[in-house]
Amino acid sequence: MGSLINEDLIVLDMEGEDRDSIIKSLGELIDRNGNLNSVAEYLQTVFEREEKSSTGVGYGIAIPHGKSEGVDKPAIAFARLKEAVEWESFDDKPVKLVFLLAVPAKSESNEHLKILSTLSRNLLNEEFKDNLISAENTEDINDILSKMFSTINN
Amino acid sequence: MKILAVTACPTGVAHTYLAAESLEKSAKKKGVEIKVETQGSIGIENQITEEDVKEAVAVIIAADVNISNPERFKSMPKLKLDVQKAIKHADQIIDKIIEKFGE
Repeated sequence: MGSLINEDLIVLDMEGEDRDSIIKSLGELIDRNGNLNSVAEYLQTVFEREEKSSTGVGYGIAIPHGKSEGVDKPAIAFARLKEAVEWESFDDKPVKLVFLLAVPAKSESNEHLKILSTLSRNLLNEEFKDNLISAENTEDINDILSKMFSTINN
Repeated sequence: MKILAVTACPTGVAHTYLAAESLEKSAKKKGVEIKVETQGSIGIENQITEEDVKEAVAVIIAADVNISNPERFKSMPKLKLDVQKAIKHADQIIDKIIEKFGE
């Protein structure tokens, strides 16, 4: 699971002007982690998806994502933002927590897809969100996510 | 009272599951039974059976794409909406069905 999410893919106090610059920064993290063959191609699908409808899911959380030929291995990158940014969320709240998902065009193992769906389901869980907000370092965040994923039965 | 729902979105990794979770939470809160079939990138999960269709009062189709096997629900009341709306307005949607079909 190390290539899917790890401490290198987690940033606290990320600074970014707006939605697009944050998506780009997180995309570059995933690229540096070695999961992509084309960061440009991948990010294009993320922005295209974002144009269709905002991925701000409310409660200060956004989950931009892209399924693309530019992705070799799935990944989750996470940022807690220093200053909340506008994301056209349906509750009009600015976003503070961002998960960027990278999914290969050809579906990989179900195990990885299951992890992504488990993450989506947990975004509506208040306790999960509170834990992410109060975490002190990237290790804490990694623990919270690993713990959540460990409940998945394969 | 039992309600059915099908959720689906274009990429099938995020909103399909967010909508399912949101509808399940609301139903639980309001004390009604719900079965939500997700049609995402993993494929179909928690598949709705003929038996479910017989037992349920209505089906919520929360999808931004055409769902698989819609003919299953031919004979039952349907509520169709965007997947985004199901995430945001789950409480109102469940209330509306309770109001219409009663306990």
